[in-house]
Amino acid sequence: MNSGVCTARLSANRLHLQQGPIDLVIRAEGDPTAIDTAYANAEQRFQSVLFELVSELPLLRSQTTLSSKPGLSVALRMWEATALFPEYFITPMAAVAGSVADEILKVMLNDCNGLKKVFVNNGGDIALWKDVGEKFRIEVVPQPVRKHFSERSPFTVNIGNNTHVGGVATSGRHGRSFSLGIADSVTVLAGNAAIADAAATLIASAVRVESEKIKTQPACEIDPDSDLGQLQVCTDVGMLEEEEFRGALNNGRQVAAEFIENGVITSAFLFLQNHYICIPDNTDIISMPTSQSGSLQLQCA
Amino acid sequence: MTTDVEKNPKKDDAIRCNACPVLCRIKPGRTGACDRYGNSDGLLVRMDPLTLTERAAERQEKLVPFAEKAEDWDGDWLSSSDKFLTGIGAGTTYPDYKPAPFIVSQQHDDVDTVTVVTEGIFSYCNVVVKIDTDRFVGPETAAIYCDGEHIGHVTTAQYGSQMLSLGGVRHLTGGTRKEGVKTCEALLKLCDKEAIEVSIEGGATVVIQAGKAPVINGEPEKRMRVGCGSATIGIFAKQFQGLVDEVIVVDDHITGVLTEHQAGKYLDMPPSGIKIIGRKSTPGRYFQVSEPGTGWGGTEITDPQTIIKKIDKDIARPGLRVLMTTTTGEDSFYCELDDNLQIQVKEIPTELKTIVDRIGENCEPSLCTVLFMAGAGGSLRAGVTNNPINITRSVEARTTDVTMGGAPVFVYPGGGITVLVNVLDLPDKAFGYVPTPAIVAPIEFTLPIELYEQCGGHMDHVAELSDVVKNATADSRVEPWKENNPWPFRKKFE
Repeated sequence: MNSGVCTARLSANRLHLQQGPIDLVIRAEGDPTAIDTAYANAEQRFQSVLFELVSELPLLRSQTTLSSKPGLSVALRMWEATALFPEYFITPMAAVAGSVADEILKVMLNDCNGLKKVFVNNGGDIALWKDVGEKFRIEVVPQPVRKHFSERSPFTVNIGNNTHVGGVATSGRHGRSFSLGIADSVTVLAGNAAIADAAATLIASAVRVESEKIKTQPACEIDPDSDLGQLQVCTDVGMLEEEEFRGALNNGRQVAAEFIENGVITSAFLFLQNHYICIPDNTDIISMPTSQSGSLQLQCA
Repeated sequence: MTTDVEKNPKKDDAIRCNACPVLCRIKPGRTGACDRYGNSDGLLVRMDPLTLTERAAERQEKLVPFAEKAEDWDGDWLSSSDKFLTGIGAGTTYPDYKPAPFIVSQQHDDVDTVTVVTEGIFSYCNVVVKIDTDRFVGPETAAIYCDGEHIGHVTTAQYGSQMLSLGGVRHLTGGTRKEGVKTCEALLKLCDKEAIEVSIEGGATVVIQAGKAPVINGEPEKRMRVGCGSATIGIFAKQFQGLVDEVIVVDDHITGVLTEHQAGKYLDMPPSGIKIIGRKSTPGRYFQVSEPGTGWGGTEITDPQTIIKKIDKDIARPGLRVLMTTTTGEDSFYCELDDNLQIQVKEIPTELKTIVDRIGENCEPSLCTVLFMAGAGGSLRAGVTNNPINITRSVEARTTDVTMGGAPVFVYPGGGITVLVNVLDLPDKAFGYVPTPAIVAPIEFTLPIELYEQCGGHMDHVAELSDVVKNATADSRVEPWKENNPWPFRKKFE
């Protein structure tokens, strides 16, 4: 069995760590010695992450409950993030990508003297840290475009001084995981990547509407190991009527608004078939710009 | 990719992926959690649709670009700069005046590079096998047989190792048909990193497998000796001092005797009076204490006392402590002389045992090394250029790089293109055969495009890598780039 960890340096002094389904692109900025230390810490911690997760996999694939608390640190992050949503069906796996990113970020910051900013991007779920005065500009791509990213996405989020955002995560039906909903994507900003990940999963699942244009299938028929078991997951969506996509986005909006009101997340951006809504900023659903020119700021509260 | 579940109504047809510890069960037409491995009609396959070795770790397939440095990412997930097309499965063209199957152009660090990819059919080829052992496997030049067919011979002994030559044109095509077929089969197995068993005339049976310990007469070899008996004495003399009065290191090549040896003299160790058999070379160094064998230190000796010729009553003293061991520390014997100067076998004292163990610790594990050697100087070159001597000269001048399955090769100086490659550096299943019999091996020539043109290259057959990739068939395979192999493209052509 090849269980090796792949390590590589990418352009712009980024670090790439990959094992099995975990794929991290990391960048630290600041003093070169501090960056080296941070990267060494990340690499070292990464060695055992997948093995730890696998050792608790059955528990992590079952519904998060007060009594199902796992023992190891990444798994604990997953449990803690998903335990914030006791009224929903959720398993710790909903926060796996974000939790790995948070864990690696944490070890990189063990000695953060000299670092200015760090991100750990785990397949689109990103843990962020920045020193006072630093900021991040994040581009959001509503639908995965496999071939060329030469066209810039019109959507950007600035994470500046006055926010407590430490995680950005995206969920939707085009991702690796199944979605109960039909959203192309839902991007969430939150205090850490694990919470953003779990919340994005739940909001994307809530973007639903009754329509014969939507094809679903029990998750376990597609992936026998899926934590979603018999639940119907979205396999295809035809072009929806206006009232259909409005209804779906509004269903998602309600859930996102509830999370924001409870102080669990900061913002959410919901995309579905050329329409989007930014919560809490927008009061209504907006049509995607037809031209790629110009940039649209998604505000983060 | 999407799944048409109607076409795959069966529910229990998932396969278990063992590419990583997650051990996903994957349904037909689906991929595992990583998106890298999938179930293609019940077979676990890498999903990447290319026939290349690739530097996998540099691929990026993220859905969300991010941060202010996103502009330096081209986002092209089929980026060809991290791919290298190997000759494995490329096929070959015969007669060779036809251009090679793939002549591929690709930009690398702003230099346009051409890689000519082909598979060579080699009648002139053999494997050079190094087995790390001091045990006697057979006399030099002895014939080596596999399933009764003569496939090679024992050649020169090296430090701690025995060299064998297997294959070669005289066995492949110069003997009987059966001999050729068996030789070809044995070479192919060794090149595919599989094990073969050979018997050596007047010697041992040996199981050989690249990267594994040789198994000699059914016994897996464990350690490669730290040096000859004399070297072992030299290395550990100081550590023995005070713990023991005489040390004899039994070795098939040179047996060392501490108090007679320069190392013992230098430490002012008094002579012990113990004399051993064998032919004295220089003080404390003896040749031929025994015939070669599979006993102590590659000799026939199983009872080390048998090499003691006499105990000199005028020099030896009661209570004298004697250690006998080997260059790997695998065998040891300890005795003391009683008042009548007779040997009394005793248990080895702990402090002395520590040093014997240290001899063992200093030995590397014994391995078999299999190097494939072949001459590509023949007509194969015509598939590369119109004027074959130009490619030979360019290889000799090192302006053209030669690789086999992406692995670095050693090019012998002198005429022709004779190469040597470690089979462990090639991807699995890189070799094949034709019924001639002859071995088929991948070979790639990489050079800057201007130079290729100057060499009389088949310019009208140069294809862009991206086009080759696009047309690659679904059963092509992508292998991760072997980390220790240097990337074949040079930074700069000078």
